[in-house]
Amino acid sequence: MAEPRAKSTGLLIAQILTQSWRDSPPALEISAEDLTRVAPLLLGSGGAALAWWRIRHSELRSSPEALQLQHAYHHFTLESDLHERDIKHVFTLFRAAGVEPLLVKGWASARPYPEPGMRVYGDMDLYVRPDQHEAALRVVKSPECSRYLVDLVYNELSRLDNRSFDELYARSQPLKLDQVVVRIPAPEDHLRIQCLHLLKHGAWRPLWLCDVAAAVENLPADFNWELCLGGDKRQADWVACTIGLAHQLLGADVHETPVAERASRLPRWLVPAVLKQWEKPCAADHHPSELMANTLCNRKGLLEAFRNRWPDPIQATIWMRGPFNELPRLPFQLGYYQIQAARFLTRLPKAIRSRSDGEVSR
Amino acid sequence: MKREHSAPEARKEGLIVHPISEEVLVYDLDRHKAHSLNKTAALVWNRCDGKTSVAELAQCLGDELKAPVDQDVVWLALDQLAKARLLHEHTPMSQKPGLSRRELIKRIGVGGAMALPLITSIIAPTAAQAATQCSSVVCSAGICPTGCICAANGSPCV
Repeated sequence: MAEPRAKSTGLLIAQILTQSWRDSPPALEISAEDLTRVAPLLLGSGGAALAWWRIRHSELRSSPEALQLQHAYHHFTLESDLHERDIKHVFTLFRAAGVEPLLVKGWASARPYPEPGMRVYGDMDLYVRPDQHEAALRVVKSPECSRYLVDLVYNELSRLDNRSFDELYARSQPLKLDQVVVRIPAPEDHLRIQCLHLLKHGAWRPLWLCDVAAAVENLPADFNWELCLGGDKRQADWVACTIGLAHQLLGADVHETPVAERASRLPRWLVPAVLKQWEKPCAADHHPSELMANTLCNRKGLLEAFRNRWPDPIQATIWMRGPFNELPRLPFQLGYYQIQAARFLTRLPKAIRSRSDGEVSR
Repeated sequence: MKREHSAPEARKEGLIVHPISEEVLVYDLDRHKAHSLNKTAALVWNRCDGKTSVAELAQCLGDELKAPVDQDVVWLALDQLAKARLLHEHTPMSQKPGLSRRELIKRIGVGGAMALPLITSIIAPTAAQAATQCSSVVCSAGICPTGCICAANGSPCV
């Protein structure tokens, strides 16, 4: 009898993270060898605390890998307290400069989880009105704000999302963190933002899909799906398919949602594309280690750089505004690659000129 | 074994304290160190009010754990709390080293070891930072402070 094939890393990660965002996740059956295999990836990709949450009642809880995952959970728990202090301070700094930001992802994504330490906290992603971007940038670069990791991300995501800042702000929710009011998008907008952000990055980080799953299972009773999906049909389908990924890969319960039918019938290429991404779920694997401009004099390095920049099918489809259907993804990948190459070539003269000054351009 | 018998006092300022189930997590804002206190260590620490003596602490601990507790258990907790800088500097500690954890386990048996105080340092997970965080940090001397990739000195990390 043939040896059973080892489960792929992506599938193992999916298995471990299945329903891990729930207060009482289902029992996990996984071998110590498999845990040893994926623990470094979970630690490196921000999914360690969720993994701990799942194995904390299993026999593996006292293994060395489990201990590392538990440390991550403890670490994130304390980090959540520190992060809230930072949020309060940053919002105070922005308000003093007359800028009213919206907090997206990160802390806002962590709210549906049963405990704050189940999710990693990194930077602070803020939306600001486009006409306040310069003022916001001055705040970010001020000495008082320099110790915080603040990203102004509205301009980047607005290329995919068709909602204006004013629209998002009008629906946003004010939340009180002690005496400081922090604004986050309405659940309808935030779920869409989470889905588009995940797709924009090719879904390489499993935690992002857990965020979507946790959000979908904790929607308020008056959640307006029309508001979340409405408008652009293609974009609505992207969001529906992302929720479908959370359902198929992580067991998110979507049966009472209007996307349930779509969630059970995803394009055939989509799930394998995500699982392939999850083979390498850490940030370092998704950023070229060498600047393109630096590889120009090295033929081998150049070929390697070209290969590393070949887009994944999800990212390529999204940036080319393509549909999620059964047709091959190659045209989108080629199209996106050409755009990237053209962009690089337009920046090349400047990059060459500035190399001697140590200035860089990607 | 001669020991000071004044009441120990827990340090509370400059700390972030987060209880989870039976443990207490503590982050030291001054030293940037994180600790996890097990139930026994947390019980002792929470009772260190500068008024309660070691004997009384042992009594309180026994009441909480519903079993008699030797004063050496409290002293072991105090030793660990002091090493983690979670007691006020002026808190008098044992003049002679108290019993070690190993010696206590020998004395009370493995079964009772579960009730021994334990403070562990929390180690940050590696590279658990978001990719987007990287671009907010500038690479210096070939190193990105958050463990991201350094593209070039003075440029955002990737």
